[in-house]
Amino acid sequence: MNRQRDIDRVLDAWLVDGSSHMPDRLFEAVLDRVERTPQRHRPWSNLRFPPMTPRLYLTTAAAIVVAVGAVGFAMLGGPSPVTPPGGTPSATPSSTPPVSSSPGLLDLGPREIRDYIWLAEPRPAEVLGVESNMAALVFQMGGLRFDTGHARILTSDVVAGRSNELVLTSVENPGGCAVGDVGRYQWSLSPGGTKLVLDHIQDDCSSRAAALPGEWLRVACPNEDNWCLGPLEPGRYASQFFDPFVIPTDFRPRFGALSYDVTTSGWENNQDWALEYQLKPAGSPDDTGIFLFSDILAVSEADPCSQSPEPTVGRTADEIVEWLTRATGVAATPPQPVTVGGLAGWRIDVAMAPDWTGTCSWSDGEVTRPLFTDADSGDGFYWGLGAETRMRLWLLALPDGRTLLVDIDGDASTYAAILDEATRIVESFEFK
Amino acid sequence: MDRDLVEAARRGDRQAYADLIRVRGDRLFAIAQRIVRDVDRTEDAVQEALVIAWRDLPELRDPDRFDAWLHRLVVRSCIAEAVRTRRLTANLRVLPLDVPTATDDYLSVADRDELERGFRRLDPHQRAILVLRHFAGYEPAEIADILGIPAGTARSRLHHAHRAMRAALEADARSTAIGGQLA
Repeated sequence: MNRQRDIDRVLDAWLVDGSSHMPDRLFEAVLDRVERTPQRHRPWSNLRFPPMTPRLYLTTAAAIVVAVGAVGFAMLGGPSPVTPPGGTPSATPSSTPPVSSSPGLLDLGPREIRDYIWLAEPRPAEVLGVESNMAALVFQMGGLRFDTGHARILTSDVVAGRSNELVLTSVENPGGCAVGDVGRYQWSLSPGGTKLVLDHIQDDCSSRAAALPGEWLRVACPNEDNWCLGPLEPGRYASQFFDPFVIPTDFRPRFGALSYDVTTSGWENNQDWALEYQLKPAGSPDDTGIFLFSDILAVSEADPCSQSPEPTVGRTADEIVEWLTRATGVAATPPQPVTVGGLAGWRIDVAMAPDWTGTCSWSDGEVTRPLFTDADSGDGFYWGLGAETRMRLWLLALPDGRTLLVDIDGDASTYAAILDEATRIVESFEFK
Repeated sequence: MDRDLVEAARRGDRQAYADLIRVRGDRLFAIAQRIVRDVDRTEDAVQEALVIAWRDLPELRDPDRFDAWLHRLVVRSCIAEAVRTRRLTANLRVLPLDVPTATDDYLSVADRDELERGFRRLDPHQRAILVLRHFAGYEPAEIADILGIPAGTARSRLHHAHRAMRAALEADARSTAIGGQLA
């Protein structure tokens, strides 16, 4: 395309294309939900959302549900949303009457749950009736939805029952539930709130009963563009998007391609992309932590600032680690053969050579030694050393000949502080 | 008269609300689809916004502000939806919208493909402001009204969105060139 072309005219011409008709099914769906949705008035909304801390919310949740139920009954003429006590677990239709014919739009359960997206292993197609490459519970004002990566199904209104119960009422058919199907689930959270466990108590809808139970990981990503996990507490975690075994053009989300143990508090996962994953100590600089990049290449020796790959170095772990030991401007320890998470490769510690004085146009005069670029360098990927940078690198061989880079990175002081724990985390990696 | 319909809907008249959104639905959906770039997720975003609009309508103080307010809800819902799915879809092969396109000699198929990729690289807030300007035809002051921001801020954001679109197209061109060399 001609870059000089007026961007205004281009956008005018391009954006006019596409549908300008709201589908009838959408209009009907909106009217259906409007029919079941009460309007919000100030006194009512204040009652529904009392300002309180999460801890206070937990301790008073049952009381609020009772109060809301009573007021809701009075204002709407509907039954109370308070659920009856739990019964025997069953996926068969229940004789328990629906706990509420009013919607859960203003409820959605405790904030510790409804304020987040939750991720888990994808459910089999035979359970959901549709293909699935991810499992995400998404709470929105419209209720709880189960995101398969292809579609959002099992949409249900949610109200908080007593004794840590969520009461779900189906509002749509996709996913196999009949509208009005009611399910009751016991929830529990890990102490730090990063893991949600849903236990099935009873559900009229068998596909929902099969899809929801189990452990879910909280998405609390500081980067709003990403579904990374955010703050972690000690425990085992899994990636949702990072997948070193696929090339970008074939990418599909694959839960658990990477899993790992965190044994101390204070770590967070702040990136989870197809080609990149990051763990860092909370509050540390962005260039401190554990970084994983798949499909890396050695950067050009002749022009390391260019983000071009070095033509004489192949893409395997063996070739890249050999290059590191002789690369100009790099001080490296002898590489050690290792196996991490089932992948064989090399471990090597690197820093900038004391006599290196190179800079790049983009380094603002700072001494820098770029090391890596990648095959998909449209994003401007480069990774390298600053004067104070310390790196512990694992170069791991992927089955198709590419190299996965794992890097514990920081300046001299932060690196020393995180090295032991970060190394333990890396050594707990599993790739599948 | 729409003001009467808005007043009636504020008092809980569902038929009045249906009448209001029936005549506005196509335009809102068209704006939403151009921000979100995915039909299913556009439907989610629009449905979400229209239900919230019904729920919160009693809190709209000035019925004459209904259109700007409704646009704001839809745009916000679209931005939220686009933010949630941006990286996921950005990593997938770009497919054309599954709707017929108007014949336009001005843009080639390659141009459209490039624009689609470039547009998907933008922050959803930038997508929204470009759609409001170049598709919906709003002036910066009207965009400011819809987004609830000062007019100067709207002009500044529009400027930055144009610049980001140019940069996204440049980045796409570089990526294509590099991919071609490696292939």
